[in-house]
Amino acid sequence: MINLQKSYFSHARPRLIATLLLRNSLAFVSNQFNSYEYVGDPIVILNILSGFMVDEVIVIDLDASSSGALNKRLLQSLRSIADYPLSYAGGLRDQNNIDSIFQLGYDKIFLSLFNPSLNNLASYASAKSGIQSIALSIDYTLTINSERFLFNPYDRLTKGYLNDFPSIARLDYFSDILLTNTTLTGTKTSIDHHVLSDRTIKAIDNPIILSGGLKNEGMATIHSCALINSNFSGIAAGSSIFLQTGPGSALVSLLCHSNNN
Amino acid sequence: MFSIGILDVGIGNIPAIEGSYRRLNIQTTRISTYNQLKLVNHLIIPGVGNMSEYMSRLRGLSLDNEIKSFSQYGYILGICLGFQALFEFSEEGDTECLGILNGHVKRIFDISHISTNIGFLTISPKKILEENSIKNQLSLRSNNNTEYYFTHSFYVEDTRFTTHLINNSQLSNVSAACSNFSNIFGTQFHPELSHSDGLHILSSFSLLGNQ
Repeated sequence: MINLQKSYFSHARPRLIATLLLRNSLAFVSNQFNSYEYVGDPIVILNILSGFMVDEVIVIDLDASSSGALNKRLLQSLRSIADYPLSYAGGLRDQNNIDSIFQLGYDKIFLSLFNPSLNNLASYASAKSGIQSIALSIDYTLTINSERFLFNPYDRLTKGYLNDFPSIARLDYFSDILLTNTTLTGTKTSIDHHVLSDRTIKAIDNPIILSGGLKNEGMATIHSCALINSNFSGIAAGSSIFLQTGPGSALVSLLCHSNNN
Repeated sequence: MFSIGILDVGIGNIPAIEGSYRRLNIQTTRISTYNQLKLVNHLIIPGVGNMSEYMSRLRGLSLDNEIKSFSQYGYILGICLGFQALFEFSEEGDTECLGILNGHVKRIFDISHISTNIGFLTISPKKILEENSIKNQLSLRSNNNTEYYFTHSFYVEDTRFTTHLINNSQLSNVSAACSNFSNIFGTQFHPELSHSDGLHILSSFSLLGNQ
């Protein structure tokens, strides 16, 4: 059994976070944001994740990201069955949508670095709901030369170097920062834990979550991350990795064990 | 039929608490007026929000003094922001709070290298407390098997009302739970987001005065 020693970490043990990607009210997983694979009914998946005692779930609605319209009925159903923290991302372009998400009982919102009203919305939301409820989502690509560029998966354009992000976002409006390596998303090769040693990433005070490429590797990676950067706070992965690996696998053992010790 | 009142000032994570009590088959009522407050014996002040905005709304509804009066006879459970609101003053927006318990709310970054404490943590009772004693009426569990979900950028310093501290050397001075050892309770963590261990606390709160 993998042993997750809490004393190893300076704060809470790192969170294992599932992302639930919604399209047409159904759950999908993404492969490098190029193709999408159907996973199942999101309500069924949330119930299963509850059984695994997942630490948090981030609901990402791809339809809302393009249309700006929230699927309130589904979001309400998801909230009603989750007894763990639930975050939301997608289509948060105005104050009304942000208010709606919190009124539905979601604990946190993720705003994209590419949101044209990012700092205004973050200022509004943090003043109303507290910075612990506002998180920043940053997507980036990794080149073969190990250079990292900001990348918008929706228009598929790069937007400068990854470590430019503190000049774009007012970081004091945010709690978590979710770093998603879109080159690795869905590939199950390995997460880009080297990004944690970037000088800019090490200098910020926000809790950091890594996403993209997690395979069934468990503890070694998590310990490496915690050693590299003391603000490392969690790993996010598509819900399918939790479902496909199933009970008894390293990742699920890690989840269950860390929640039972 | 008795009902748990949940304070509703327009912000705060009310649906998650309602969902937890629904799983326990316990009825809840949203409270946003004095007349509604008079009808309950148990009041939850929910979390998620900014203190300045929260207290402004509370005063706008003229509920601040009514809650202080309620604290003389009713059972109160403050959660996260609602827990911090029980104290005198918060550095979040330099806000005067309810003052039901003595103590100040401070910025977590001043004692830590991180702006927000997020995640599941175990808690430890202060030495004066005995597990399962009357002083621990919410039956908070302090062992390696039980973790509660924290997400906060401000904290209540260890006070004479503190019953449990966060079990982490970096945050050893941070109150995890407080009580006046009678009818006022508060948790910095979110029981409604802490799986079955959190449900146990919400259930225990609902039974206070009804056993």
